[in-house]
Amino acid sequence: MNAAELIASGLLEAYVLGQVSPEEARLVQASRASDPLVAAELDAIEGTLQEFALRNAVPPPATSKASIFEHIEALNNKVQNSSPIIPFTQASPMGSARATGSTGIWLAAASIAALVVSGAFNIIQYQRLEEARTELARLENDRAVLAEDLNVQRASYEQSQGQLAVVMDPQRKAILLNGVGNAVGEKARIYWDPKASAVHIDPMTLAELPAGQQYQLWALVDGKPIDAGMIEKGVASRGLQRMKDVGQAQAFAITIEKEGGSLTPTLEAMVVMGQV
Amino acid sequence: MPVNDTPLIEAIQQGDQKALATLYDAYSGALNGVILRVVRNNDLAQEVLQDTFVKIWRSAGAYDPAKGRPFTWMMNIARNTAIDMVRSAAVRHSGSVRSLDDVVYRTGHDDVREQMDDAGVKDVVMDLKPEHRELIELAYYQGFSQQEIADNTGIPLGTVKSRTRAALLELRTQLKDHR
Repeated sequence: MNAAELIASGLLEAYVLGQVSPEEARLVQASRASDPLVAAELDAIEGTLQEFALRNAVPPPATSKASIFEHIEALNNKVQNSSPIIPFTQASPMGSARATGSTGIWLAAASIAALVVSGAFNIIQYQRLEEARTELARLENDRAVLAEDLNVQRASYEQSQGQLAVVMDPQRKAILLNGVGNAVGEKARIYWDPKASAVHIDPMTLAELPAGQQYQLWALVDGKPIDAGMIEKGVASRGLQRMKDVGQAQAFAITIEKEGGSLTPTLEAMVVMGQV
Repeated sequence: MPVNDTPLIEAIQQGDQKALATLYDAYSGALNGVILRVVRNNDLAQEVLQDTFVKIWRSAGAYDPAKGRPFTWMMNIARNTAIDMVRSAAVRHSGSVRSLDDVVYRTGHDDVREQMDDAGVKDVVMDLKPEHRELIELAYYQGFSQQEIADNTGIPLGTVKSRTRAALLELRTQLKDHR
């Protein structure tokens, strides 16, 4: 087909209207590239349809432009933030030849609709999955916090139960130690089971000591002070504390000693004392 | 009339929104006119126009100047988007695609023109011979292939082709006369 025949055939018009098959489109494009007559005719046809459209223009609503650019802006942000966009592909800029027969059109329309629906479905599912993952992470964190709380509460409960058992034990003797010298008014209490030799102390009002100093408990046996252990400092000093075993004693006393304790008590530094 | 819009498309390929705004200012009315003639509903037309410009924005990289001028490319995006919209709406509403017979019947009774008048759309140039107007309606605004038109109107395919050319030549002459 020469240029004149091609121009007369009506194929160029069909091409611009997007009515040709891919093979015909290739033929027209090749002729356009090689033949100035064909190129000029195609340009004239395109120009006719462009002018026809411009003459019959209907201005869209004034709000339309802003809404379109908002949409594009949102789209750009989305692209930057998350999911990859499936590129829109146009088979041919002139519009591919439409499927022949209404079944083809129906199938094409249905497959495009299905693609759009499945794409939208995927996006929604992906967002739901992300939300579910976030929620799961949050719940897992909550669970860990609660488990930690439970451990703390359980330890606290067990400590309280242990202390209550000591206090409630009928074998125990409760010995109140009262302040002496500068420490008048201070109190501590010993819970002692002479048969089991078990000694617990409740530091009660004893004030926190500066670094380098520590309370030391003494048992007075036949007038001689025997080391009965160091009282813990800080948080551990609250509540009952198990001391060294004491089998027999006539009195208990607490002195302030250097941290780690002394072999013999510093009597001037005695804080509290109580007779059995 | 600007003929070379290719640099604008190239700018859009680089992500230049101002170039898209320039195209919008120049052609949104023309594209909207085409879209309105296809969908015949102002709300649908706005949706299609938005989709069209989003597609222009996103697929500017697919534009090939060897295949045609930018307006033809944009017009075909607008037309195809509008036609897809009408067909999917028809499928949603009736479970089947509007048949060509319906369209031909309606075109013959000037129903299309009445509906466009209702939507405020008037043709500046449509004093074509009836058979030419029908072809432009079916091919340009309804998106039917030449084979489909031949099958459904009983006009031989060869005649459809030559008549399409004749219709566009008549249109070209009328546009010149109205200039």
